[in-house]
Amino acid sequence: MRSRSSLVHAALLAVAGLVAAGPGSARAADVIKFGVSTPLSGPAAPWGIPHKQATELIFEEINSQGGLEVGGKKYKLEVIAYDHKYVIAEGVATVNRLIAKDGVKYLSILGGAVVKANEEAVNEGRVLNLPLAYADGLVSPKNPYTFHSFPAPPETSTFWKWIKQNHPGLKRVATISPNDDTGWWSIKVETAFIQKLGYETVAKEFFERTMTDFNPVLLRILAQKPDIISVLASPAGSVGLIIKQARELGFKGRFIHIGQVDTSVVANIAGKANVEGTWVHGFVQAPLPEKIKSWQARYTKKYGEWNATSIDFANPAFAFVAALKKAQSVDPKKVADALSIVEFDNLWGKAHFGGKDYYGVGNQIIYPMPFSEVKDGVATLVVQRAPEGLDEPRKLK
Amino acid sequence: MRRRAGALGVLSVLIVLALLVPRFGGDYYVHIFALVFTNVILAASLRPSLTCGQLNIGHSAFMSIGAYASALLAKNLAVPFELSLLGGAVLATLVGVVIGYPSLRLRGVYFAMVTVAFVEVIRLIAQLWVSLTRGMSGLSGIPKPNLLGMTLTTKAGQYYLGLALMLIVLLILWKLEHSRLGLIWKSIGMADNLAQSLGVDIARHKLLAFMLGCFFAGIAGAFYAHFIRFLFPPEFGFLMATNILVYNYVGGRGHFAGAIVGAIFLSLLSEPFRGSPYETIFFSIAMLLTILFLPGGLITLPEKLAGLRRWRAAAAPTPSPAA
Amino acid sequence: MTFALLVQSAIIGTSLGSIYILMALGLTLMFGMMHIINFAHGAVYMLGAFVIYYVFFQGGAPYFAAFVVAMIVLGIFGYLVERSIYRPIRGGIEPTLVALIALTTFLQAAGYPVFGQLDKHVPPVFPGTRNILGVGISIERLMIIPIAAALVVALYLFINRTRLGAAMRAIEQDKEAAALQGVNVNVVNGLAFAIGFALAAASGALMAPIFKLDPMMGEQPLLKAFIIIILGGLGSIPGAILGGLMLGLIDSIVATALGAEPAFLLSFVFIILLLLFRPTGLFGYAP
Repeated sequence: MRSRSSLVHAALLAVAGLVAAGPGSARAADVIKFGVSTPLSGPAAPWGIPHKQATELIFEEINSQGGLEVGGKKYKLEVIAYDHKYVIAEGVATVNRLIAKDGVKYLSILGGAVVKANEEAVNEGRVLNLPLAYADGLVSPKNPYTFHSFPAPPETSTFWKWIKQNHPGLKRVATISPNDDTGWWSIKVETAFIQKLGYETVAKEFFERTMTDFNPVLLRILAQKPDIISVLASPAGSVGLIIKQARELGFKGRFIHIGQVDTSVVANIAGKANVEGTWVHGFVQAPLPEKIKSWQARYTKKYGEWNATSIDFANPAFAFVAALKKAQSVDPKKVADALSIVEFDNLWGKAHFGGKDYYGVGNQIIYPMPFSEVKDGVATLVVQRAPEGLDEPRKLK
Repeated sequence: MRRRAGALGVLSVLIVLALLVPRFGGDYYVHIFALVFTNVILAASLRPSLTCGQLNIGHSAFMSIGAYASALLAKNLAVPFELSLLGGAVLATLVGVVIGYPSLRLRGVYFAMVTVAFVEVIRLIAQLWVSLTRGMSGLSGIPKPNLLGMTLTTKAGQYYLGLALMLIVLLILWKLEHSRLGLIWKSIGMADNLAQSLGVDIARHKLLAFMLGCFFAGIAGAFYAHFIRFLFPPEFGFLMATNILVYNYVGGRGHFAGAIVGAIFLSLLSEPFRGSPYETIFFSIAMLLTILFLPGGLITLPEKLAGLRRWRAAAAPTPSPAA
Repeated sequence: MTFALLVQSAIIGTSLGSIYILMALGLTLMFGMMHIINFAHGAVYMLGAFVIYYVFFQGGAPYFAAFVVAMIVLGIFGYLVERSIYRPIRGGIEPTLVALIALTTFLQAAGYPVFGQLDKHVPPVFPGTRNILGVGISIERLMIIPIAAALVVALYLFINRTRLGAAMRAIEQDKEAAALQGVNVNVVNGLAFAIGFALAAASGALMAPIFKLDPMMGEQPLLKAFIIIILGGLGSIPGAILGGLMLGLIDSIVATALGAEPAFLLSFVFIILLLLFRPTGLFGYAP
């Protein structure tokens, strides 16, 4: 009797599962859905949360003004965001859910490995993807529907030219980066670029993202006497600990992070004095552009906690809206065509998709990126410029 | 006799329902259920070890070996799926023997602590052996599964393959559990010393149970590899390992169906919460409540409810004539 | 690897080891008494660090007061977990394990909405560095060694010199016999949970100014603590101390010589080899 009732129960549960998993809900015709698959919990959440929130904020502002007119019809924009927890199986399942169940035709995925795992689903589903991820081979003619919406190492490495001109004394470079595709590719691109410029890379270390004690790795790096340590692709918390511990071990040189990082978060962990002189791409505190000041106010008003990553992670939404306006169509193919020619405003200035000379396809976002130096604890703009040598001279349409 | 017929009836209804999912469920649920099948295989394959009293928190390591081995055989050497699946399972078993053997002398929680180390060793090897596994770049370009030379290109095709694999594995494991071998495992789990005094070679039986688990975990891993087609070392870490164990206890250890119920329940539990920022919070609360109120697992729910009804009926001042 | 570098990494390894020891102490205590693998240990470590964040940094209380608050608050939490989770599913090592896994998942996931998404920090309590044999070690790290030692001594005295400690030892040796001798098993189990959680909170509270704070910060230390208590022998306090020091040195010296990942792998290979020859760890006794 006992085992029978448990079998019956198993059956009931399975049926309940099937019922709960019924066919997808009906869709309203005047809504354009934009899917977001991003880490909303776990260690990568500080990136995923602003990704979702920035997209929602931009869409909400457009909706509050009556929506977006496409092909003579007013549409509301809607974000459908799922947490992939930086787990591959979840990343594949959420993208599958967006495409197959929610009927989404445009989406934005965050995270190198998750984007790579979904490459085929995106291409076969002919959905437009505006990912935020550092991953080798992501921007490629193989992926015609993928428009990478965050400045990647091939773009940001070009700041080393400025360093070479303005600080010729620096010669020996060490790198420390997360041990994954993101870190590997970043370091591969950065070292190739700086070696061409004549720099010597004296140490190359990778760390587990969960690492908090960098002393042994730093001891190894410092034995090579670097002038500058690049912490490319490392998250703010890790950068803070690396800087703090390297200073404790007696490192006197500079740090550089040519991926975007909030130096105030870094300085809190590392100590203000230790961060002095650090160079960073994508983060400015002074002079703060008006547009970003206003964004920060709107973002903080809506969500409470400010996250500077939201500035660049708003790119997918800006690009998508601009392309919809340009295409005047909701056909992903037409929107993709529009993306490759449209010029639009993001929070730093004029942006477009290009990079054909480097990637073989013009699907990488290009815009004048800010480059700052921490002076008296404040990230102060030293130069803002678009990457050179990645793009044919631009003919604006 | 009646019991047997009832169980068979329920089983056939379930199988028919499962066969109908691709027809009515849409691509998304086909995908989700194919993963559920993988989890069911994993959960069920842990039972022999658990029955012997070996608390194994390292099962995802063997899934990982099966996944990588099968993927690499198919990708690099164009080995057909039937063989790469077996290859993955056999390799998982061999590695299981090598690292499992010394620790099989340990019992219960002691053994559990050591299996935690397995997971990390295997994950780190997958991570560090870049030339073979592509490490943290992730292994992509894994071919879709094929059967008798025919590639299963559709999600539905792969779903049926997963379903078939699951049913075969469950049948084998069920048969084993209800054979003499299963009785021996049970006696070892209940009292080592007693079983030994009856002349049972405990070490050999524990090892056999452990190897079986590794073999079927390898099968699950191989199917997973050709289904998701992207392997990433951290996937098979601590979280997956504890999940497999948790399936068994949330479902209930008292009956073979427990592992299945647990795996299905927990794999689908987060579905209603998807899209909520509190997905993981709801999930963990549901898990905590289940184990607190049903320490015997979900399969004891009907008994509990029946008990509750009896108690209510007894407590009611005027029982209704219908009762 | 030069000799100077070896010395430097050995010094760093020792300071690292004392961090590890602290983490492993509570874990091994609960294991020895109740055969419980406290999966929530890392989450409690995280909570301990956040108590310091709110009470010391945000609230302005003195550091040591906040430290004591962290131990007391989470000690009480431990007692409540014993009452509400362990006791109702009495006898079940495995259901307890599952419940603790669920509790950990809950605490980590709830941490993001409660504590915020960005990494938090606590300003240094003992600022500055000291040069030892040519290697700069921060004073806050050096301070861990006496504090860890004080906690070890206090724990030792409690277990060996007090009535409650004697009751704990009695239960560790034989639960039924202890109960027959009139030991209140429930009270003592609650106490073991309280002490175990308080020790986890203490290590989190000590690490807060040294590292950064986020809801997942306990994962890596938990894994390290697992390795240590396997190395040292499950349930053994001297084993945890020796295991912690050994792992600290391995981690530091090998990582300096070969890189961080090989060091991590090596510590596991070391464990497997150890288990081949001595399955109960260095100080463990056969179950």
